[in-house]
Amino acid sequence: MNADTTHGNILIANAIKDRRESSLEKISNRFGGGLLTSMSMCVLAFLYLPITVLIAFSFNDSRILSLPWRGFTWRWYEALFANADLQQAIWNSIYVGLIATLITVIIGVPAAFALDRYNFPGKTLFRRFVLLPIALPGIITGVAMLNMFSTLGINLSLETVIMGHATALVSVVATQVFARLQRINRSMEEASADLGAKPWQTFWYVTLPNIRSAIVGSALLAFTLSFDEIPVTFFLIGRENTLPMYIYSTLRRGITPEINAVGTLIILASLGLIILSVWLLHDDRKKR
Amino acid sequence: MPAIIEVQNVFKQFGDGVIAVNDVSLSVEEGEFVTLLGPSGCGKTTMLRLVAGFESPERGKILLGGEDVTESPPYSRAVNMVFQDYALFPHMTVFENVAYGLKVSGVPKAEIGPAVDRALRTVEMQTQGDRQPHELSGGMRQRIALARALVREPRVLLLDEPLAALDANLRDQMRVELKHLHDRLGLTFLMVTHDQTEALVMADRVVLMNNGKIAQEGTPTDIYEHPQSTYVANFIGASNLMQGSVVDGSGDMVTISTGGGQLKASGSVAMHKALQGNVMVCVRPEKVHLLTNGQDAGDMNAIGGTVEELLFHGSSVRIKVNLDSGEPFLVDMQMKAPTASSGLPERGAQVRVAFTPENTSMFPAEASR
Amino acid sequence: MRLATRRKLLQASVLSAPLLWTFLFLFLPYMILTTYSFYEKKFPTFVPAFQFGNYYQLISDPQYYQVIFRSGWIGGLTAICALLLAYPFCYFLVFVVKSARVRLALYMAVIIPLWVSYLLRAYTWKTILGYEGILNSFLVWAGFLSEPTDIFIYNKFSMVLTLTYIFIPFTVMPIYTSLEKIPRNLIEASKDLGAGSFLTFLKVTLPLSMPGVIAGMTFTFCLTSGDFLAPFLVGGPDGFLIANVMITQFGAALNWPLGSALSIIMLIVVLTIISLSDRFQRAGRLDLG
Repeated sequence: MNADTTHGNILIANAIKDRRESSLEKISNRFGGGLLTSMSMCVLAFLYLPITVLIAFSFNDSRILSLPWRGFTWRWYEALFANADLQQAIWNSIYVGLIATLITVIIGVPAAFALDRYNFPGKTLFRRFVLLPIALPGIITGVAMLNMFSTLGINLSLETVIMGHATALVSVVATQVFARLQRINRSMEEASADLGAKPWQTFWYVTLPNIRSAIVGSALLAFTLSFDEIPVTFFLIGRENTLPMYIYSTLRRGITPEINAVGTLIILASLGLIILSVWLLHDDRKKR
Repeated sequence: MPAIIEVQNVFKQFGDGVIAVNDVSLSVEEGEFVTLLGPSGCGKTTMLRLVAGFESPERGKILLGGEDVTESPPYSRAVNMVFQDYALFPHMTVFENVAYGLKVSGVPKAEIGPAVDRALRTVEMQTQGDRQPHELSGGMRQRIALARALVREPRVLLLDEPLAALDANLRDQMRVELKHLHDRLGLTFLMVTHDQTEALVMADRVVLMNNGKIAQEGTPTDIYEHPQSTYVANFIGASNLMQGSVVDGSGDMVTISTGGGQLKASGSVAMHKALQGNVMVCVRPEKVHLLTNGQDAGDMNAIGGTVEELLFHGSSVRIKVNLDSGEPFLVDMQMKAPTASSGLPERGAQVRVAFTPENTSMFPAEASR
Repeated sequence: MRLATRRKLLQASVLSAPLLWTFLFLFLPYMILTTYSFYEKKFPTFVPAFQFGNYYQLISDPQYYQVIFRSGWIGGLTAICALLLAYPFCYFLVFVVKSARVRLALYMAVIIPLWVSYLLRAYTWKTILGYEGILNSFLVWAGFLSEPTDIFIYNKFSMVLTLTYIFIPFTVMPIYTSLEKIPRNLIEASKDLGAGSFLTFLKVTLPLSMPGVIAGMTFTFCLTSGDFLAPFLVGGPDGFLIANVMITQFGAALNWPLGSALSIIMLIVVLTIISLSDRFQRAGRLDLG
């Protein structure tokens, strides 16, 4: 094989390669790429435009939610702080959220362990039931629990709402903790036992530190979801209002800019919690 | 004095029906370095885990230092294990990892520091106390895992394929270091490996397993020089196996009739006559001499054949010979002189393979354990 | 104590709380719901019975089965619209975006709205599309219209738009996960064997992302057809879907048996669809082993 043959071979190889990406294809690739980019930007705009509008109009000095812009004002926010009903609703939501989240952790973490490690009769059924509320429209969970409470003669109140939220949100904690448990190196726990640690010591010193961020992250998520929950709450609520139910009933009477103001505050608070929760759930990858 | 580890007729079956350990008994003396050797699935790891307490047997007993620990959980057994993936706690520093066993046993804080330091010194990692496991290399992690297991001064150290995750050079070095560590500390080591070289180099006694049973156990020399079955002969080192039937014999010499003619092998006639004849004769390639057709064989067995291929192995050359009977035969020659001038035969040359009867071992042909 | 027994006891104690809760609040309610669905409506409320009258009514009375069909129809439309927007976006994220950080940020940007007040997200469209809303006032101000129009709201269009907006993240998540899972070397192999970008997409990428597409569309369909908020806010006369019917039955109409029967039908339909799409492998989000 001399230099000429090699050179010729290279030319042929290049020619074949070029044929695979003809000029028409090159153009359509670049065009396609550009089209995709602009489409994606449109999707993002579509998603965030209404939120931006909401926030913007909470500062608009006008009773009516339309253009033209009439000037910047804080008055809708001021009205909020004077609104006792609203404040009560917020406290109720916080109360419900905290207790419900606590329950989801108490139920969800053991559930995740059971699904990850144990084999027991009825495991598949158990798994399906745990996942059910997240896959179904919330309204079904709400209706089902309403039926049960009324059958048992239990009056509707914030406490029934708490139980409804806990049931609907257990799977949030269970799935996240389960995913983290799957990633944990099992031999680490065996090593702990081998070194003399009793089961509770292994759990406390070895397992828990490694799933802690998953628990906290998913709990934050569950709290945020509980704060915003409507379908289940709708059927289980008594005389007290949670924040979303308050907004809902206000909406039925008509739209006011105060709603925008509340909305803006909720968005900011939720965003903060979500970002914190995501950061926690994505954490620890480097330590594996 | 009772053996420090006694495994008595242990039977272990898993949920999917696989029998991992099938009625196995084993005993380990204090201070021994015993290796459980075998291919994956032979039950060696299960045996180790049974001794450690991570599995419990369906039948049989496990005794540690004379005490029945069959139903004891791992945290109350006086053994410690070094895991294959080291299993260091990622959320603790090196110091905290090594101190862990002491902490959970309630050792006072004042004593933990010096003990950890001693353990780290034993594995030459005393400067690494503040580092995190993910910052360390594989070899360093292994030493920390060792220190962590040793700090509790167990009477038995269990090792699960400790060198498998290291690269070749480090592996060679660690083999020797582990052996020295054993000699220095005087502990009992029970190690699992699939690498026969490791077993031969490190162990006082090798236990070769197959399909949940012990195929053969003995010193490395024993197992190597006197395999008792085809399986053992093939697993450890290379071997030439010839099948034949017993014809005659006197003293410790037996005459075997094989496809390639008659051989003299060492072994008692009484033992093998009882089997009505079918035996395997095994001879290791390095014990075979290569003779030209003219050379005198003397007392050795000699079989004719043609040289098929020469494979250069660096310090030795492996010569594949096609015997006249059609069967392959391997001959290993150490290169005591430069290869070019050592007089190796050419391909196609007519040769004879020759070996003394003392260099053979013989076992029943059906034994496929 | 035997080792195995000790382990079993530990397992039982860990399992007890979740199992009890699941039984009390998931299993029991559904059983009761089923029981109620067989009860009979008798003025002023209802009485225990075992009859299929409620189910029959739901299937035969046009007032009800039309609602069921409409819900399915809206659900389907929404799922398709969401797919048309979500797929290119996911493709863009996985194959066009080079930096992992940017990809994560953009993905989060789509997912985060999911957890930011569902009620508000539905409500903003009401303010945008309404007669006195932002879109109208913008068009009038810009001169495209002489006076506001009401074609934007209180119809199927506004419902599908709002629902797509709310549920797009549910479509994005599984599709993104399944696209991400495609081994890059398959695509390279396809190109190496002579297929151009479009053909590679058609024959390799698209089929391999199917599980995610199906999962996404299934979720979106199920959740959308069971929604009551968007129909209520922006649906107008058309805005009466299954969930709204259920609210009425459990509210003013006091016809709990009918409402329960409707719930059971919904439950069965959703479970069937989910287990069908389960066959095509769960894509990431709801993996519990």
